[in-house]
Amino acid sequence: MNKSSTSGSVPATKYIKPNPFKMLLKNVKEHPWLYVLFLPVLAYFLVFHYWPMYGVIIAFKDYKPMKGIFASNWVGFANFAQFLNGPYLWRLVRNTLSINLGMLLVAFPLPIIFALLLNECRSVKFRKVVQTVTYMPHFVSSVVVCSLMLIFCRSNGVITTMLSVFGMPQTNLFSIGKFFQPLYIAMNVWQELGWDSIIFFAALTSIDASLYEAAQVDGAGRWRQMWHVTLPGIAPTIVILLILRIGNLMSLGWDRIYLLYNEMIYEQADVISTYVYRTGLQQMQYSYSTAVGLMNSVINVILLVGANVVSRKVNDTSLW
Amino acid sequence: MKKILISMLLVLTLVMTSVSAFAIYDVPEAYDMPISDGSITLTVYMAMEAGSEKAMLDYTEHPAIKAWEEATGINFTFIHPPANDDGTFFNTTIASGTLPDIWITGNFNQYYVGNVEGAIDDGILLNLNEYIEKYGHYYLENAHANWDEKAEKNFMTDSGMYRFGAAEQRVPVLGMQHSGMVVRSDVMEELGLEMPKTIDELHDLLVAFKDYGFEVPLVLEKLDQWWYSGSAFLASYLETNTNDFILDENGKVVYSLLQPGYKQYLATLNQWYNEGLIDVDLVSREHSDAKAMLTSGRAAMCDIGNWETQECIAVGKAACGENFYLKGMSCLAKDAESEVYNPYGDPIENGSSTMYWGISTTCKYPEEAFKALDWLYSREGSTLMCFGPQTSIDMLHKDSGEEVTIYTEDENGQRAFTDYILKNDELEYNSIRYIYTIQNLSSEYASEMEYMQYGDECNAQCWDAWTNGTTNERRIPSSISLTAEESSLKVNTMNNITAYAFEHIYNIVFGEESIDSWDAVCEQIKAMGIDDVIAVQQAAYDRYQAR
Repeated sequence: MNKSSTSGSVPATKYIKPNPFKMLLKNVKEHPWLYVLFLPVLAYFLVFHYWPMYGVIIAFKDYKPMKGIFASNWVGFANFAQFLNGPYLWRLVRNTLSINLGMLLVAFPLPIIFALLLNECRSVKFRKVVQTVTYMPHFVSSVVVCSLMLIFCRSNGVITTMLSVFGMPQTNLFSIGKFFQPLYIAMNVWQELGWDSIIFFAALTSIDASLYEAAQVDGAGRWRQMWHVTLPGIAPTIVILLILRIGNLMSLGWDRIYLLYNEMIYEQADVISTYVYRTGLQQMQYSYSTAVGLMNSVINVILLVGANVVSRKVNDTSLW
Repeated sequence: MKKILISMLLVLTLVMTSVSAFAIYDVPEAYDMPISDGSITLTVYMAMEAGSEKAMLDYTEHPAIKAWEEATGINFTFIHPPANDDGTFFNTTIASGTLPDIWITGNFNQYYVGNVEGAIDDGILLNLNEYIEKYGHYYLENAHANWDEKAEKNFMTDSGMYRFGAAEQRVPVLGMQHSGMVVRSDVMEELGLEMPKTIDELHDLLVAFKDYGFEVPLVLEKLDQWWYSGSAFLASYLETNTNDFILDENGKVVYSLLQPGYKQYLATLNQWYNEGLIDVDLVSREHSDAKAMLTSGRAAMCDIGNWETQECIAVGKAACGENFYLKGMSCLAKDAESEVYNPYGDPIENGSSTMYWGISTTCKYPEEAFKALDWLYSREGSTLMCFGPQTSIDMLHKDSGEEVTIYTEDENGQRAFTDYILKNDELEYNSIRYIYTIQNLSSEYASEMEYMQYGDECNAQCWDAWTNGTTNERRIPSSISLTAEESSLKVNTMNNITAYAFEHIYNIVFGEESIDSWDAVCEQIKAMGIDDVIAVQQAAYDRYQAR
């Protein structure tokens, strides 16, 4: 009989921090096939996302392809200084942010509203038809969509002609800077509305049906059910996607903008990614464009971490 | 006696050097053909000629390439950049570090910072001088036989590098202006109007076209198309150009955007935009699109190449009626006494291009690769690429296995395409000929071939209107050569200046910015370092003059 048992007090248990490696090993032994299935995904991220990261070194070098990354001369922060002191910094940041904020305000809530509306629809056949029709534009190539937009927005294009009924000028809409961002956002909404709503549909199906029954017993109508059951049910999904969006506030795909813009509307259309493309790939300033891209990525990481911290504190939902 | 001997020696030296400018090039012995036994494969980077894709996926199927392989004993594979590559594909190919063995491209002179010499300094290309002097039998023999003094001026860069693949011999056809403005002459005659010679006459014509019902009297392409020189005729009478370095009246290099006439040029475009005389969709107008507007009857004037004239008239007749016809319009004169400046192309005496035939430093068989290229300067090689193999399998009906004759050669060595090429039922001339020939590998600029494609009355009229009675003495030859350092300065500075300037140019033309803002734009262009680039251009031009 030991001392503690004779005294009758509760034995003090020491907290042992679990060894993550041992936990992983145990998990692998328990579910080997799941990890086998995971291997290609892991390989993809390692090969295409992590391994190329060593290339960011060229942001600090005067990169010459035939010398290679390591043999090229170091230039320190010269490429960063060139961008920060250049004439386009403010314009690029402003356009990237304003287009992304516009997307956040318009293109982010619309799929949620769309999913909620369709969820209320009683006719399964109608719902399926609408879903299929709205998904389809997602599968059309960006090049085709942008080419159609350019044609539709010419002086005699379909969109221009329709808008001219409401007093808009009958001229090439992509020659007027103030129209670029609304047109770009509208094009994205048209193409991605159905596709982006899929994840919310998935979240909706996971809501316990008994919650609706309980709400009905309590006398809640459809509006009240949506407000007090459906929305809280998909709120974690919305928050996670919002955090991811905020983490990409300084990112914007270059391809669609590149296909749509022209010199006349650079002031409203040129964004960081198109600038990186032009300087890096068209003008062969690899180091300079890498520096711009690296700076952009660092700001994105800061935004992502910041949004995650705020979300965790405000509503206990976060990425990690 | 000693003095007499020395004097005679000096005179002899002087005579020898003046009699033959090419005496400095020793022609090496011819090498044995085939060059290899078929065990060597070389990768070639080159664009496919527009039209050839109608009969093949890549050049490994091309009849001229197959004949080249047979003659040299070397196998060729190809990297073809996409059509209208804006330099992106070229740059990424270099950045990949996996280089082709052979480069057949003008991209080094167009996009690479430092041009060809910069690429040699950076270890991408081999300096071919050593190979030319050791193995360049046909290249140097060709230089002795066919090139005159003016062609020799373009033979080397200022630093002594041979412009291999670029310095073509001079032939009369090079003196012709191959692209310019065309007008719907049938409508012009219907309205009782004459071909305009001054800006006011042109304005009146465009107003008349507008009243006649043309949607866009003058269709212009977006600024990054080289056809944008289509509006150069509006700048040239003001003694400037759309975006280039030119010579002023004293022969000094100046930047066209900073010339006094440029503001007037922009004001004219803006005025015509407001009057609905030029294309409001200019910012997104491709050349093919503009051409379609002309041939469909929506536009009355457009800038085209003479190689497109016949095709445009044929399409126009089908769409607008048998009366449809186009005539070339000469550049405008300031007044009746003024000279007519031709702002397009190179000065007539040039006869060279930005094309370069290069070999990568990573090539395992540089000697064989060079000899294969050098052989294209032989009569046999140049004819093969210029006129194709004499007979070939019918590429339009490969399954039939039938042979067709591509060209004939008479006892005087005069070559001529057969009717299979000239009057093919299935494809127009410019498509069918590139299924059997490759212009980018042609070391020869064959006059007989050029005249063959311009055999119609409309072609002759366009050549006459665009060329005769005009002077391009304000143009700077494209074969001036910049050192790698000068080129870097120019490319980096001009990338920024051009991007900046054309944003404002568009906005001024479309009335989004006042014409008065142009003075501030000019000041900013100066602040961005244009004077340094002008100095570089001036130095290169002075060196060219001294060659």
